[in-house]
Parts: sequence; structure tokens; C-alpha cells
Amino acid sequence: MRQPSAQRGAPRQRRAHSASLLRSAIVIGVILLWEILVRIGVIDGDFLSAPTEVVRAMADLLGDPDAQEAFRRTGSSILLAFVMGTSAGLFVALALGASRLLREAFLGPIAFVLSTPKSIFLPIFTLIFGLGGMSAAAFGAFESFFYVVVNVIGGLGLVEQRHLKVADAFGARTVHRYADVILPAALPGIFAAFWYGIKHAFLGVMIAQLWASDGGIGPLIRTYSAALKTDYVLAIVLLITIVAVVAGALWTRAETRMNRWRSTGAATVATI
Amino acid sequence: MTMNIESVTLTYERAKGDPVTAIRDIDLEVRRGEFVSLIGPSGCGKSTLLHCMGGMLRPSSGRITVDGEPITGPKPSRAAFVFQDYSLFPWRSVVDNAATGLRFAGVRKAERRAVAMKQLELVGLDHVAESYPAELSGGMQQRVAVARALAMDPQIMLMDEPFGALDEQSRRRIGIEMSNVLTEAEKTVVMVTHSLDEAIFWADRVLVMGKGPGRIVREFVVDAPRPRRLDFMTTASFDTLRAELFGLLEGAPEEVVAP
Repeated sequence: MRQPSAQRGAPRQRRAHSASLLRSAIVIGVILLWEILVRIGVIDGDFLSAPTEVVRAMADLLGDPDAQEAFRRTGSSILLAFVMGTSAGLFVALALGASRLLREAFLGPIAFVLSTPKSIFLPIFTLIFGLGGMSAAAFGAFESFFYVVVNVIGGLGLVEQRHLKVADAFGARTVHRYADVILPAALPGIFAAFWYGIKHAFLGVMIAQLWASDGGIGPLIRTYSAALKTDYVLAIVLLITIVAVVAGALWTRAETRMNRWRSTGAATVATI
Repeated sequence: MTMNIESVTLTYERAKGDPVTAIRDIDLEVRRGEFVSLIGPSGCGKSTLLHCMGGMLRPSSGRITVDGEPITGPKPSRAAFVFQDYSLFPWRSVVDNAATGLRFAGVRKAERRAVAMKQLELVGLDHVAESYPAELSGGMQQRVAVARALAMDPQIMLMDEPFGALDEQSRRRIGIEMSNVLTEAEKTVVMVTHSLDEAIFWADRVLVMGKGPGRIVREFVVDAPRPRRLDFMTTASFDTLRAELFGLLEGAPEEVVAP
């Protein structure tokens, strides 16, 4: 006999709590083991700094004006890459979504470029834009553009003809068709597009800055790596990870809020 | 309000390019406050005719007018649709769905929500106004679709198999409820249905369509006052009419099906 849902909920909550404890215990255990292995000399501290040193380096970085300037430059490059890549991607996706001819002509090539490693194009961006922040931003925009296009088109595929028919029957103008039917229906794809847009803008900017750049986090990592300051390198990686995790959590929260009308996950768009 | 349909023919092209005549030379007059049912075999052009009446399809020839004004496109304040699959916007609350047409017409939010709430009260759904469609049963969703159409205060309601997606019991119960609501609201209704019982129970006139191409082959007058009670379905006149319709649709296919 099946138990009532309230009774089934209690063990599930206990299990989730235990899983959370187990996860935290493993992370703390690994950090402790790492610290001990560095302290007793099993791991060479020059190549892998102890966690306590990484935390100390992080505090130094947060108070260092040069590091702050590097983070600011990388942040603005990512933002610029995201804005450029997402705007262009949205515009192209809406154009492809509106025209079957354009879709048949260009979706194939876009999907092809999406599947190729785009870092092979990086030297072209460096040649055109030089070593400044614009080069990294342009490459980040290029990285994100294709993901935005494909995900927005996937979202547009969720728009149902019957809803457009209702809109027409109730006197919707073009602006209403977009605002009241197309955009809400395509929202999962648009959210996925924005998320992949920011993720790949970040990736593109970091790759470009690590490859060749005169400012930002990339050169900072290169400098610390060359000087074997692994504690600083790991501190930067940790800071980036914290920012990414917090951004991801906030994004998921916003997406859940915007899509709260969906009672099931059946209509979520496949993302690449 | 009088809707006049004069010699309406609609021909469209198939994907291969060959022309198909969906309906041919339809002549019909729908008078104010009248309930008309359209019934006939699948593919006889019932929905096509309904869509022409609502301005969703433009006839290839002939014309449709309401009080002399030609129909050239959808205008929900003149003719509002209720579709079979409800087609509520799942991302909008029930009250906002009921206010959809008013929003498109540019009515301010507070005003349109007040009108929508009034219509939801009429169909008995004001208590779920802030819920989302996915939280409602099929019957409740269809009542919201009726409220959405009523909110436009249309001269005529065009209902395309409105209860076709419901189970038999809900179909009968909600059908009776909605028939009463629309009678009391003094609406003019044209309803497409596949159900003989529904066609007779609802209508003042039942129009039987034949196919190949779609045309009106017979008209039956249902001489009983509305709103009707469920026991109308057990009367002798209902049975006689039902038998006649059944005979026409099932027993004499050459009249209904052949050109």
C-alpha cells in the first residue's frame, strides 16, 4: 500500500539532509587531507599551495588595487562580450525564426560552427583588434553568439500555433503576438540562451586574455603561474568559481520564478 | 444584430498546388439572440465556415456581413471564438486569460481585470482567478475560455466544438451550464459540434452540412424555449429530431456526403 505524500515527504527530507551532510563532509575531508599532505611534504607546496595559503592569497588579492583593476577589466570585457553576442544572437535567431527560407539557409552553417572549437579563430581576433580588451570582448561575443542563436531558435520551437490563433482571433497586433505569446512561450529557450551567452562570453574572454592580452585576469594568472605563485593562481580560480556558483544560483532562482506557471518540466527546451 | 452569409465559397490550395473547395455557395442568416448548431461529417467545412464568420478566413467569393458591415478580419467585439482545445495561455493567470482580448484592445489593467472577474463569476470560476490554467480541469479551462469570449461583450459567439475535449459527463453538465449562461446573457451563438444531443439541446436551429464540397443540406428547427432543462433530452420531440438527424447523417450518406 502506498503511503500518504506527507508521510513519504519526511524520509525524503531526511535523505536530502543526509546527502547534504555527506557532501560537506567529503569537501571538508579533501581540504583537510590536502592541507596535511602539503604540510608534511607529500605534495610540493610550490606546485600546489595549501588551502590556508590560498585563502591568505585571496585576501591579499581582494585588497590589491592591481588585482582589483584586473578583475574590473575582465568583468567589463565579459559584460561587453555578453551584450554584443546576445544582442546579435537574439536578432539573428528572431530573423531565422520568422523566415523558413533564412532558417534553411543559415541554421546548418551556424550549427556547424557551434560544434567546432572556436579558439582556432582567436588569432584572427588578435590580429584585427590587437591585445586590448576589445579583442577579448569580440572573441567572447563570437563564442556566445552561436549558443544564443541555437537556444533561442529552440525556444521559438515551443511556440504553439493554437496560441497564435487565439491571439489573432482576439485582435492581437504584431507587438502583442511577440509580447503575449511568442516571448513567454519561448522563455525557457531565451533563458538558456542568456545563460549560455554569459557562460561562453566569460569563457571566450578568459581564453583570449590567457592567450594574449595586456590587461585583465588572464595576464595576472600568466604572471603568477610564471612566478610559481600557485596560491595566487588558485585564489583567482577560487574567486571565479565562487562568482560562477553564486551567479548560477541567482539565475536558477530567476528562471524558476519566471517559469512558475509550468507545472511540469515537459516543455523545457533542450540546450546545447 | 443580423449576420448574413451570401453565396460564400472558400477554395484553398493543397501543398501540391491543386485547388480544393472547402465550402461552396453557403447562404445563411443568423438572427439576434439565436442559437445555431452546425453538424455534419468530418471534413464538411463546419469549422471553415465558422472561421469565415469570425474573419479568421477570407472567402474566395461571396460575402459575410453583420448588420450590413462586411467582415474583413477578426474583431472580437463583434464575434468572439471559443475553441475546442481551450488554448488558454499557460503563462497567464485565469483572470489575465479571461482579460486577454481586452488587453489587446488597450483596456487599462484594473478595468480589464474587473470585467474579467465579472465574467469569471458568471461561469463560477472567480475563486480560481489567480490560479494558472494547468491547475484547472479541462471543464474549468473551457469555462475560462467562455469567460474570455464573454469579456469582449461580443454580438455573436462562435464556438468550435467547445466541449469536444471533455468526457461525456462533464460535457453534458458544462454544456447545460454554459447554455444557460449564454441564454441569460442574450448572446447569439453559432456552435460547431459532432454530438447530435448537443446540437439539438443547444440550438434553435440545427444546420446539417454535407461534404464534397461543404454545403448546408438541411435545416431543422428546435421548437422549445431556452434555457432548457436536462429532461428536455427525454422528450418525444427531442427523440424524433434526434432520429431524423441520425438518419440523415448515418442512413442517407449520398445526401450528406456526395456532391
